[in-house]
Amino acid sequence: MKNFNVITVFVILLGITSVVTGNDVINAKTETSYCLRCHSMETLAYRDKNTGLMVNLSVNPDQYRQSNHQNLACVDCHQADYSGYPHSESVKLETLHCLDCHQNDPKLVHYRFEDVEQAFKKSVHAEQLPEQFSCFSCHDSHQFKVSQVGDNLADIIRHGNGICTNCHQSPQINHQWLPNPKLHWRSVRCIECHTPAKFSHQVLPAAESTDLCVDCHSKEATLLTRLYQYRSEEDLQKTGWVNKAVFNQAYIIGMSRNETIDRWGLIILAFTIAGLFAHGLGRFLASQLRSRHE
Amino acid sequence: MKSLYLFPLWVRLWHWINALLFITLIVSGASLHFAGSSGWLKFDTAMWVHNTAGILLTLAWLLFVIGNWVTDNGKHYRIQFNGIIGRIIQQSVYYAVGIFRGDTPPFKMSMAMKFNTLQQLTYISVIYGLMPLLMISGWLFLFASDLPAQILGMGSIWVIAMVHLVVAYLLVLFLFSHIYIITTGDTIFSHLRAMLTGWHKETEYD
Repeated sequence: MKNFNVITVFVILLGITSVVTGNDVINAKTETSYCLRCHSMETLAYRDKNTGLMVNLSVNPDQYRQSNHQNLACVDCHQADYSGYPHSESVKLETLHCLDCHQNDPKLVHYRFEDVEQAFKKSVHAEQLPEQFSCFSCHDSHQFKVSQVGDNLADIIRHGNGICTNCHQSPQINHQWLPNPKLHWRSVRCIECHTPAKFSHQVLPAAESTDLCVDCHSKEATLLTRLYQYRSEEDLQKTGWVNKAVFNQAYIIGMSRNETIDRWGLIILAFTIAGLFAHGLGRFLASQLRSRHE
Repeated sequence: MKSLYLFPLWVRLWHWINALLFITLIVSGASLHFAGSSGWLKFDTAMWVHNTAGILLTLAWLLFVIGNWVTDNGKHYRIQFNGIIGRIIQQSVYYAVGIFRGDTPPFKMSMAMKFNTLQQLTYISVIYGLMPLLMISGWLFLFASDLPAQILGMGSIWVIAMVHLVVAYLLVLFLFSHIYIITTGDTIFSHLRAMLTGWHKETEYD
């Protein structure tokens, strides 16, 4: 009897375990961790037979968990048939598009994905290499994390410029005209000059990008406002109101410069000083003259 | 010779603190504005110096305005419109002609009014007009992130920068004129002495 009980309990436990395990296997196949068992391998890649290029299939789990898409399971976006391994050839035909999820999303309306899409279509990338370029060429959706006000500005710039230099590996060759290029690359993003002020996804051809210093360092309003406000906001978030006021880093060299105002300001100042000096000299000479007469 | 106590201690303290801040702001402001060519202060140093002096200038200005409100010093800033045009012409003619001839000044300082009309209008414009414009535009720089991107179709930061710049030039002009005009007292240093001691010595004219 005692043995029977032990066997019964064992059988029941075994049954429960197998049921749970069975469900887990079914669920696990659709879970991110299941996919990452292979896709977290850093070297997971294949060479595309048509283009000859390496296609990276690796996803960094740490970056993924910190990305804006951290709450999405792989299968939320990748809905082709990935059930078998090796995956079927058909999964290569799967096309993904940011607007598939982000169109008319009330939570994300301020990112203006529709405008981004339009700007991207006018970019030099999309116009000259339409087959090769998509959102994912620059933005890896497995690690994409939108910059927040208050993030370290240097990190934002480094990350943003890293996207460009990933392909454009020798930017110094074409930027020799730029005074102190390394300081510029530490201080501003490539897109400050290589996109029109309001459309940061409309990457311009080199010939249409600005090479005018005054676009940032003087009156060109929109670009100046874009840079300046970003810095000012970052300072405020980082340091609080008092420190922000005293240690404000929002100055851009030459921002307040205006040739006409400076010229006339200095001319009027010079004439005023000369006039005051002449008046004083006149008073001195007149008093000398008067004292001689007395 | 009669002496008048025209400048109480708090007014003198404000005046000299203000003077120091003006010079600090001009030096640091020019270092920022003409960065790379002025060679006065390093850009990074000029930034916090200018910010700090600007904040102190605002505090000093607020205390001065409150002081003028709660003490009778404010009476010197109330314009007497009756006969103002005549007084302006009279004072201007004195500065243009009479001062060279050694004429008796048309205005005599008193406990009731220590500024001649031209001085009074200048100080009112500076303290209640230009300085608020300068300080507001300066503070808007510091909190630029809360501004709309554009004002009247122009980038708002640029508009603020130009207001700040023009007002700064006007105040530099004021500073030079002010330094010169205080030499037109009974002696070259009599006004300066009065602002240091508080006491103005009256000269008896024949």
